[in-house]
Amino acid sequence: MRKHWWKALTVIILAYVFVAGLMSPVPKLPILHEAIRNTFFHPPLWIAMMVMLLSSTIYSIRYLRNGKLDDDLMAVEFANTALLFGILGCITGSVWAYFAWGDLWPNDPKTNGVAVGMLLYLAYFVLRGSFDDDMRRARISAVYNIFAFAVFIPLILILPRLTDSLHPGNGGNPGFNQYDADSSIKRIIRPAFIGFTLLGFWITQLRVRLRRLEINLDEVEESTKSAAIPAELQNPTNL
Amino acid sequence: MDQFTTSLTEALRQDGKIWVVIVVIAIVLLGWLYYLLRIGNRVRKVKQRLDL
Repeated sequence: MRKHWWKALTVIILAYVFVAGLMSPVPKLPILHEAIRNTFFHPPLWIAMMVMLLSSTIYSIRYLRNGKLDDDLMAVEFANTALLFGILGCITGSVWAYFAWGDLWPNDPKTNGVAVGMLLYLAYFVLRGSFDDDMRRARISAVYNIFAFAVFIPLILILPRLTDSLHPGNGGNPGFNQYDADSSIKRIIRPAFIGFTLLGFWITQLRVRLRRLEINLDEVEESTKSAAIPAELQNPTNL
Repeated sequence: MDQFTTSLTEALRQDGKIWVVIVVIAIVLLGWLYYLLRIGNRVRKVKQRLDL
C-alpha cells in the first residue's frame, strides 16, 4: 500500500476537483458566465498531455543511450496516454469554443498548432507500425519522438504568444489571473493539473504492465512452439 | 436536424451555460471510461491466453 499512496492521492484530488469545480464560486464574466468552470477540466488535460509527452521524450532519449527495449515501451505508452488526453482536450475545447467564440474550431494559432501537433504524434504511431524489426522500430521512432516534441512545444506554447490569439494569456489577450482576485480559480486549477497528470501516470503504468505481460506471453508461446518442432526440422541442413 | 441542433444549443445555453460544463465533464469521464474498458478488454485477452 505504501507504494500506491499516489494513486489514493489521485482519487482524492480528482474528487475534489470535480466537486469543487462544479460547486465553488467563480468570477462573474460576460459571455463565459458559468462556462468559466471549464477552466478546471479543459486546460489540465493539456498540462497532463504535455507532461506525458515530456516523459515519453525522456524515455526515448534513455532508449537511445542504453538501448533497452523497455525504455522504448515506456516511451510509446506515455505517447499513447498523451494522445488520449490530447483528443479529450480537442473535443472539450471544441465544445467550449462553440459556446464562447461561436465556432467549433476557430481559426486560432493555438488550436491549429494543436491540430498539427496531434498529427505529428499520429504519424509517430504510423511510423512505428511500418517496421517489422523491433530494434529498428525502437531506434527510428525514438529519434522521431524527440523531434516531434521539439516541434510540438513551440507550436502550442511559443507561436500562439507571438500572434493574435483567442486563448486567454496568449497574443496580448489577458489571462484569467486578473479576474481571480480571491484565488477561486487557482485553488482548484492547480490541484487539477496535479490530479490529471497523476491519472495519466496511473493509466500509463497499467498499460506498461499489461504490455510487459503480453511480451512475456509471446516469448513463452514462441519457445513452446520451437520446442515442439523436432531439431532436424528447425535446422534443415542437419538432414 | 437543423431545428434539433438549434434547440440543443439553446438548451445548453440555459442557466448561465452550466450545461456546457456538464457536457465537458461528461466527455472527459466518458473518454477515460472508454480507455479503461479498452485496457480491460486487453486484460481479458491475456487471461484467455493464460488459460489455454
